[in-house]
Amino acid sequence: MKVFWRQTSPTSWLRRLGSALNVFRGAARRLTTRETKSTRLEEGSGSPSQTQALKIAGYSLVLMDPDGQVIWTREWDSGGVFEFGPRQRLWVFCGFTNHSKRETEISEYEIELMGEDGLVVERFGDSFGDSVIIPPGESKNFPAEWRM
Amino acid sequence: MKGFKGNDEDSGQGRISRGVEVSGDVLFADALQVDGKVTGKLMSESGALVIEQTGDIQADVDVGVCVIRGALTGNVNARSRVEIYKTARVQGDISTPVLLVEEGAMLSGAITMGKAAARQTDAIRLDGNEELRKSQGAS
Repeated sequence: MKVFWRQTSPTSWLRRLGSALNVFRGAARRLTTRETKSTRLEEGSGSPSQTQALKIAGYSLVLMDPDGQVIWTREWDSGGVFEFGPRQRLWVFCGFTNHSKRETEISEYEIELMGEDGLVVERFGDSFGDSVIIPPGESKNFPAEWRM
Repeated sequence: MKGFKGNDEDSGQGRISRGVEVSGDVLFADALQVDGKVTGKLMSESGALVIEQTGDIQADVDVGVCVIRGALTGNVNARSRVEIYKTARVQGDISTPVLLVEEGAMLSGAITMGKAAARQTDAIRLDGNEELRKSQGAS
């Protein structure tokens, strides 16, 4: 798998600032996700071991550019509903191929798990310090691991 | 065949019962539950293979969904997902876009990203990059 990283120009302080903002944005997003999980635990039966299993019917990949704008998203079927509960780990591997004629610049991504009703039940992701550049025709995999 | 039967004529679900051993290629449509032993190859375009605790498979598997609670020796290629539960013993490489593993499961092999089956394409580009918006994107 080829991953292309754009080198930060010494004179491009704006890009450096943008990268720093991406890191903060990613941290804030992760913090928000943790708060969501905490809220669910508090609303549930109490301990994490008693957390109810999630029913997952699909998942999607959301790619964002350095401005935080969603530039691409795609949804996949998980092959039917399955339950994901405590003492289990889940790996989701999403791929993106740039079929356009331009470079695609990605600074952040999210993988969303969706329930039977199509609503997002959980999301997780990561951000890059420097944006990842995907040239035309190239692909990149976006993996994520999750456990309750 | 007594040990290899459908639960319902129209359900498309099959079962290889405990004590039954099947040798050769097995092709199924919707779902196959294995409580017995299979050697050879198991294939389905989008069907679900369920290997129960007494199930023992020594074969390469190429299916849509693979749920493992028993023993499997062979490579697995699943287009949708693989579920490996705590009673499972898996020896072989796994290729799948979604992998669920329960604590206690035994897994020996490499894991690679499989080719996921797309449900729909909702590609959007907010800043007007039409080329990207029109692209099919992921694979």
